[in-house]
Amino acid sequence: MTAPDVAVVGGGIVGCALAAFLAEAGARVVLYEREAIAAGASGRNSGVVQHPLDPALVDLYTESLEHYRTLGNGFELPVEPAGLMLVTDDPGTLAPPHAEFPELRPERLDGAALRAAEPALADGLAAYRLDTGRPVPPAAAAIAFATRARAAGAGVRIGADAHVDIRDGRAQGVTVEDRFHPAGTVAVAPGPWSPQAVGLPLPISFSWGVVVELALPEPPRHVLEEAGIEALTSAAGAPEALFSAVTARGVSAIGSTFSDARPDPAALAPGLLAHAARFLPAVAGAKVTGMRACARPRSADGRPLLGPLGGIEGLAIASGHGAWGVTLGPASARLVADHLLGRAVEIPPALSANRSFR
Amino acid sequence: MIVAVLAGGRGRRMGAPKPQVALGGLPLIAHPLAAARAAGLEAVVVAKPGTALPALDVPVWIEPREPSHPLCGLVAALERGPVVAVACDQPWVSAELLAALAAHPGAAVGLVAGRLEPFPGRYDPAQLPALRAALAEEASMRATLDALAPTRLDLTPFGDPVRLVASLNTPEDLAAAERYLGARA
Repeated sequence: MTAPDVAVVGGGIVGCALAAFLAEAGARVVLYEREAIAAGASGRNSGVVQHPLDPALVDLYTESLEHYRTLGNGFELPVEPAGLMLVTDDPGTLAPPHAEFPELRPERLDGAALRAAEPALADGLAAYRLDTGRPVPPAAAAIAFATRARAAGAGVRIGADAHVDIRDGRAQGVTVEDRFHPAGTVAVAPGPWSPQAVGLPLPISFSWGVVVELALPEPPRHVLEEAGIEALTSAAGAPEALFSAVTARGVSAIGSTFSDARPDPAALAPGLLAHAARFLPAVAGAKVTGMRACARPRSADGRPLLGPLGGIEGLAIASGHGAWGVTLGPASARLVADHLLGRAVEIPPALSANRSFR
Repeated sequence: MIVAVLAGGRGRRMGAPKPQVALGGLPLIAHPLAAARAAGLEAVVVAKPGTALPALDVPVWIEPREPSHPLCGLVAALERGPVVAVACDQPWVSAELLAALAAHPGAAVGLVAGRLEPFPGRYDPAQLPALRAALAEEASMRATLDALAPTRLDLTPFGDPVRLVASLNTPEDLAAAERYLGARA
């Protein structure tokens, strides 16, 4: 077999979308995935496509919505958002969020109005309702892009733990179990495993989270998040746990924790649920039907790293999306695919993989 | 398309109710259920009356008490429509494989090391007469499959085929699976 034009490392939402866009543009592509399609955060998150509440990321979100509307292959984007509620149990501190996004039509609710809008919530809370938040099955988007990539002729190697082979200042291809696989260029999108895959220190690290699933008798209608979750995209770093609840088909995924080390879901679940019960009282009596740990790729400033990397020829990255991989992944992949295809494309400086981190 | 997770087996060699034994901190049956959910597919559990099950957030369809045969749950599920059937003791089935089977236009099972693997497989109510006949004579699963001649799906694109379809039957299988989970963490 002749060497492919592009080797893509990582079979999450970003890598699968990259492989699809590249192959559909006529490039010869091989995708290398260590475990399974969407085995990492792309298949283990809460499952929601949602406004990122960060001006630098809005264009990626808007474009990604378009990609999702036309994705097909078993993926369906809800036409209307369920609505996002930023809730707090300290109503005095609830600030109006995000004046720069009037399209979200923020609406402050408390008392009877909040109870009417979201009966599942506890008394005494206050919330801002925002016009965003579309629950989606976690892995379905990555699987649909992988299906498109295969249909366009891309090779997909599952079980292949690929590392970039860099010699003479150029990515020559990848090695899988000490075997060299040449490629014209290499695109890396393995989320938090990016530093290992590239073999270079990168400002991307593990942000582990635990999500617990349960079926509530009267599940919330909205996507719920504890006000302050936007701290996740700030450089200040994440708190230990923030309440969130994403409900699809009657099952609520309750999140989430934030830790550098891999957590034990069973050990963290009781504390997570006790915190969630302050917002959703029914959580206290509900039977846990599932739980999982999810490894988010956190970048040093909370924004993804896109495009050419370092001074290394033939190497591009699309990683570091934190909790926003499903929300921003398709547009990120499109930008990097265009770059690899030699098309005129400008990676926004705030997202360039070569920006400086302080 | 519904994913039917078959849990009506006796699990004699496991020495404990298979759906409930723990793997990676979760009941064994939670693994195929999680794969179905991640793929956006609806799931049900098919079990016998009184089968010991963990807390579930999916419907449970009850199959006949007798006979104790892998076809019993499959026939019970197919009586309600086409399904992707997977066994509750197959933790390595991936969301992508279930999605591919669900998208397949007709009956299909995996071809692994030259043999047809019954589960996970996409089955169709049109197969019910043949499956009922096989169940009545308690025919072997493999002989039944050979007679049905479903589409043979190459599983290699989805990962290591042997692992994808592996079922855990003994405490030793379970311990090895736990080690595998630990090693890839």
